[in-house]
Amino acid sequence: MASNAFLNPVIRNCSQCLVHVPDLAVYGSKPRREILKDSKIERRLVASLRAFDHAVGYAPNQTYIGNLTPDQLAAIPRPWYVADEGVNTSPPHVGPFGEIVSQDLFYAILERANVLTPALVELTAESHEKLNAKLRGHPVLAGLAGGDVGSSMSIEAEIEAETALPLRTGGKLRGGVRRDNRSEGREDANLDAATLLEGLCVKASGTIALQWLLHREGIGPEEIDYVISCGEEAAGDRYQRGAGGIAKSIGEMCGCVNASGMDVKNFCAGPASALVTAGALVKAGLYRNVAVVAGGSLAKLGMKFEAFLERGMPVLDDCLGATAFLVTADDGVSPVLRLEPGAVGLARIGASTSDQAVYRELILKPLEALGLRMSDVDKYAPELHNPEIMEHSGSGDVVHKNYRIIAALAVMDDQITKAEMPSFIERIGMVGFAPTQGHIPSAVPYMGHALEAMRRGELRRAMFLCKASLFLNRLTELYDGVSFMLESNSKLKS
Amino acid sequence: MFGLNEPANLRIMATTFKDGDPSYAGALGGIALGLESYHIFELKDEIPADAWAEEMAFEELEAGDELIDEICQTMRQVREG
Amino acid sequence: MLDAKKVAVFGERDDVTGVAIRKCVEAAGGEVVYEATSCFV
Repeated sequence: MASNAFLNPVIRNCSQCLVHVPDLAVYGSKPRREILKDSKIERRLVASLRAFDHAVGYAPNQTYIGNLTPDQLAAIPRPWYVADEGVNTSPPHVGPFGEIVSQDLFYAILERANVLTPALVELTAESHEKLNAKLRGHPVLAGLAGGDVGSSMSIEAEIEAETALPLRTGGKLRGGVRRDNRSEGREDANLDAATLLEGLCVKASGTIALQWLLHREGIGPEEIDYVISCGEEAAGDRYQRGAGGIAKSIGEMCGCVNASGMDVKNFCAGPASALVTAGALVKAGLYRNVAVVAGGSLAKLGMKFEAFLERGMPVLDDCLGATAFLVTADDGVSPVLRLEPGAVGLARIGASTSDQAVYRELILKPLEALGLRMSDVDKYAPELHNPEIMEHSGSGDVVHKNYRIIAALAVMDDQITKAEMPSFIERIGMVGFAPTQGHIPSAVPYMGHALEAMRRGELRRAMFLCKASLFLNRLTELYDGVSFMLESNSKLKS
Repeated sequence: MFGLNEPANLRIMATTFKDGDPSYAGALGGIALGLESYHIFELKDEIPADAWAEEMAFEELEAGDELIDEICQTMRQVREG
Repeated sequence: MLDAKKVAVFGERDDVTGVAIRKCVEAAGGEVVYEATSCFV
């Protein structure tokens, strides 16, 4: 008897959204630390923030939401941050994969993400009314809007007394964020306003991505059986730091009443690990529709701001990234996630930590298990950080470095010669376009483009390659990585 | 000993350890420790061949000859400057 | 040259890591007294 258990799952759909939050950049880890040392920095930073239209028109951001392909982006001369200004005066903030959400709209969703009393996020009465009216008119996110009347408590006085963090847009106060002021929360450093804002940003941006996924697929939230979050937070109190619960909190906001969920953590390989887990749950026949969702990192906003200020550039790391995927059983159309034994690349604990050893495990071993050579893969998607952000901060084009590693591996394995490295990279590579975030730039921003190209018959195979700097937890020197193969559905042609 | 493959940043790092932080931004602004620094690529002849083959041969291929030359030249300039 | 030398190691995740440099230095008889790997992404 035929059973789904023997069939590979598919990635039915995805969403890719950005949230432009320039005024939250001061709460990013690096700006916060520098402002504490020298308060004059805040004024300089705020003066270099981009307007919404500029962030929307920025070509890498247009690529993230699918209005440009990576190839089209690569053809646009650098610098992109200048090239986009004035060229397209009203760029589309909606693309095939999702949307670039404005800060004001996000504040309204952030307020709705609160569940505590007294509230952690509170907009001023005027902002509450205005921004929720705006949210109610949104074609995809209207369901998230709150009622007309906000809280009767006044956040203004608390901001004045510096007991709450202000939420502003262009100098105007919109609301504020409180710490957990209840008796259990008052002395807990994990529950201060800045830390809670991180979790709330992940929840709210992940919610935007999941809403867009449901909308794009035309599926009701009650159809989702399971939600896996792989976002960029460590929510929890002093006794359960980083303990999870984000998947269900996002599912709750989106009305996924029949779903349960859990969080998967694996540094930058989080999204890859979550997709593989989702695929395995579907393949096992446990769930039909699994949503994987990732909200963005507040901590990395403004991470490279010093380099931008030094060069008189706008602060380009001003967006939260968010993404969601729908993993289901084979529908005969959607691209297939290869999950046969050995098909998923990973770095064994016993393997050497040298680049060569790690990449052998990540690329060559799964290819061998699938009976493929490196040249059988049309595109490799490694970390896809926007080079315009990375290069100015002194770390170089990280995407290109990853392709040099992939090409070096092909040379070591006698699949190409050293002289062929540049042409090999040209063929299998792409330019980076993801914002500076933690896990979200890792390979998966290519998903929307890959799904479209496979449906059009222009792409057969793509390998998604995620590295994870486990050593950042200070508990191991190990390095991890997860790779998976996405393949166009063989039934599509017949 | 450095592992970063960006010549401009390497110059700043190597200068900082030798003559003090040229930007006067960090803790070593105006403090000359007089420390010599090297990039690992410069020390191929000093490392046992088996360790080099395991840890570094692949890194050399990744970086490419041109960049390695530039890195080695940058480091030499700072040490001799 | 590295024998019995004390070495401070500054690695980079996307280039040569601190671990890789340490293994080379130790194989050459050097002593690593400080090791860090930056992650810029």
